[in-house]
Amino acid sequence: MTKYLVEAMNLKKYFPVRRFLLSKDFVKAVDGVTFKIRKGECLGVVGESGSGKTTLGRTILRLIEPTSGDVLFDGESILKFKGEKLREFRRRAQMVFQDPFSSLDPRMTIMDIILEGPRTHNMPIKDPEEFVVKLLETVGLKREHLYRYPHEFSGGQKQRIAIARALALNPEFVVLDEPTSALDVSVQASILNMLKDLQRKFGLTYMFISHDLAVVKYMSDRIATMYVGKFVEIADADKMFEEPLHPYTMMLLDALPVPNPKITRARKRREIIGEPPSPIHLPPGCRFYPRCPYAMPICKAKEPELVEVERDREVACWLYQ
Amino acid sequence: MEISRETSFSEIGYPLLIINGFLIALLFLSIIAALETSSPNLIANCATVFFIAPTIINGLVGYFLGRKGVKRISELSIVITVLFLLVGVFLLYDAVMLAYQGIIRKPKITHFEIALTIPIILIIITYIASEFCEKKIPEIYWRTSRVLGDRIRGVLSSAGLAIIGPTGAFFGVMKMDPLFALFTILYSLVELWRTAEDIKFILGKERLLSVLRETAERTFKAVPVIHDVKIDSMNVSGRFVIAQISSTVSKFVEEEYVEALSSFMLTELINRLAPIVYLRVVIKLEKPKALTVAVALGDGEIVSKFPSKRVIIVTFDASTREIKEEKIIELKFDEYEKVPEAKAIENLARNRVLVLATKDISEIAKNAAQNWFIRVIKTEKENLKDVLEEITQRFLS
Repeated sequence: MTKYLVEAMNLKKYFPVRRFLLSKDFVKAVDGVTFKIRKGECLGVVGESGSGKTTLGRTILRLIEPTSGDVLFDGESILKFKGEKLREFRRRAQMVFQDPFSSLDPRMTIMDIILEGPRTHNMPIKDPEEFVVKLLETVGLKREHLYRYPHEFSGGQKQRIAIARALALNPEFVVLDEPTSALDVSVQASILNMLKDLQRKFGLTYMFISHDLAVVKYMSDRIATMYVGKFVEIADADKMFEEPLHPYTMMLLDALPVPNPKITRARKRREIIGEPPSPIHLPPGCRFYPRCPYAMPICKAKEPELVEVERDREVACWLYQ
Repeated sequence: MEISRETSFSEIGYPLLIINGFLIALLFLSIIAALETSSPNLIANCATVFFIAPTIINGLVGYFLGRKGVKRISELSIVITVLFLLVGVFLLYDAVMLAYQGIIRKPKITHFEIALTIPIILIIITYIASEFCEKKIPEIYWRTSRVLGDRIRGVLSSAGLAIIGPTGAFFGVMKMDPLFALFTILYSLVELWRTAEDIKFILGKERLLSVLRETAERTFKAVPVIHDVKIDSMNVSGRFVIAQISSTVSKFVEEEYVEALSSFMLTELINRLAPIVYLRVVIKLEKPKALTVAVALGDGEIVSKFPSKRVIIVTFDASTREIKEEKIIELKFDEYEKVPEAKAIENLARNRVLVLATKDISEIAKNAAQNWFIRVIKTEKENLKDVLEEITQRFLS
């Protein structure tokens, strides 16, 4: 038994983009990501839109096949899973998608939606109705919702149903892909609290993907900052917020509004200038250097590796190497 | 001491050789098909291959002659391009005449087995060459790989068009060969236009030269250890750039960083210039005429640890060891500056500091200094005068 539930090793996912006839380029959505998630831990993944967070989430669940690299789940390579083993992995690792409006089948009742997974996995359930009611109650819904259709629910309720569906298979690992970004702030808080409660109650391991830093900080034990397909910093959530090391993380945190007008007026925010580079043809060297306020000559020549600068703290920047 | 770095044979030279091998096979097969079948489609296809060939040949010629330091590569590439264009135009004229005769009279096409198989072989070879191009040339040379790939894939389109007419003729629709030849001829004209643009590119060499000059002046000379950058040669062979630059670098740079410095220069040139086939960077390590030193200061003239609030920047004449210039700069940053050490080092780099003397230095500042190729000296001396004496003893004696 390893203490890590999920280990990604130099994981890459490239999407081919056809230009003309045989000519193709590759969008490097995930470009050599290595990390580990401990059992019962929540790893937050932050980054701009298009940085590859969702692709990473999908790749580690093998919803899409990686181009190269490996993912170990409980010490075993998920890429070698076949047949029954793969089915078992599908049960143990679940995903909650960003958009609850499109992730639920509009022609199925809530009862059917939640039971679809257990039925596919031939899970023995004595009383299906009671099983679903229990799950609905766990996520804050009621028995009366059982035979309703998704369109009869609000966004927050739909996301609760999506979470109940994921929990129905009794998973150990859940990838939460921006589960609250489509919801309004008041609903967000209740969903986040519920997710935390569920994690404690069922001992779940989470990978929490979001571009909302405050939400990630609230949810995560550790946070990984992703920039154009790569992790540039991984650190304990509190440490990262107190003292970010990578210039990109610093800038992301600078973008957070401070609820104190005095500080807001006094501080000079370091804005992230420019656009991220094309994920097709990345600049040589560090991929952040065109936007980095601390760029040095070496940054243009060599790409920094993610190195441990202190215990449980890794950063990919030449300032620390 | 002189160190040079160049684009490696395995990264560019070898792929170019193989792609040229594929090109020779394509040329050979296209000529056989054109001669044996008398099909205007296959003659026009042969013309297309001739139009495509000079770009790829010029790449190889540029690489090998660039390596040997030949100066007149651009002129040679124009000659190669014009020669191939002339043969191609002659073939295209022949294809037009044959197509015209085929339309108004009875078309004549012989050796169907050749007319139908060779275009298929051409397509297969092009596919392999195209894949080779994308897989074997490293990502950093993606512009070079794209030019080569785009040109060689032209044969695929041409051969694909050229097979339609003879296939129709094979099934009895004889007029299809000359009629379809019009499309193959039109496509050939497109490739002719693209090759003609190569000449335009070669003639527009001055623009590239100014990019190179700007890179040398602004980017390279911004690094304090680089004193001088000279463009030894810059040539354009077809679509590809060949350049050689030499730079004079302070010999005070630590040896282990010379490799990183050359890597920085080479990468920057590859990134800035158009598709390249050969680059060479020569670094000459020389004693500089002046040595600029920064000393971290605390109160008065007491040496302190870095980053400090003040640094004194002293420039020595390297031959006389006399102080030419000295100034004190305040290293002030606003309280929200996240990495003041990095900014402080950048400030020193802007002042062309080669050596930083300090009591102690933070890890980040040390890394930043090394990455700016600034040498860091940890001194035991307390007083500025003693430190300056130590530095002159160490570097200028």
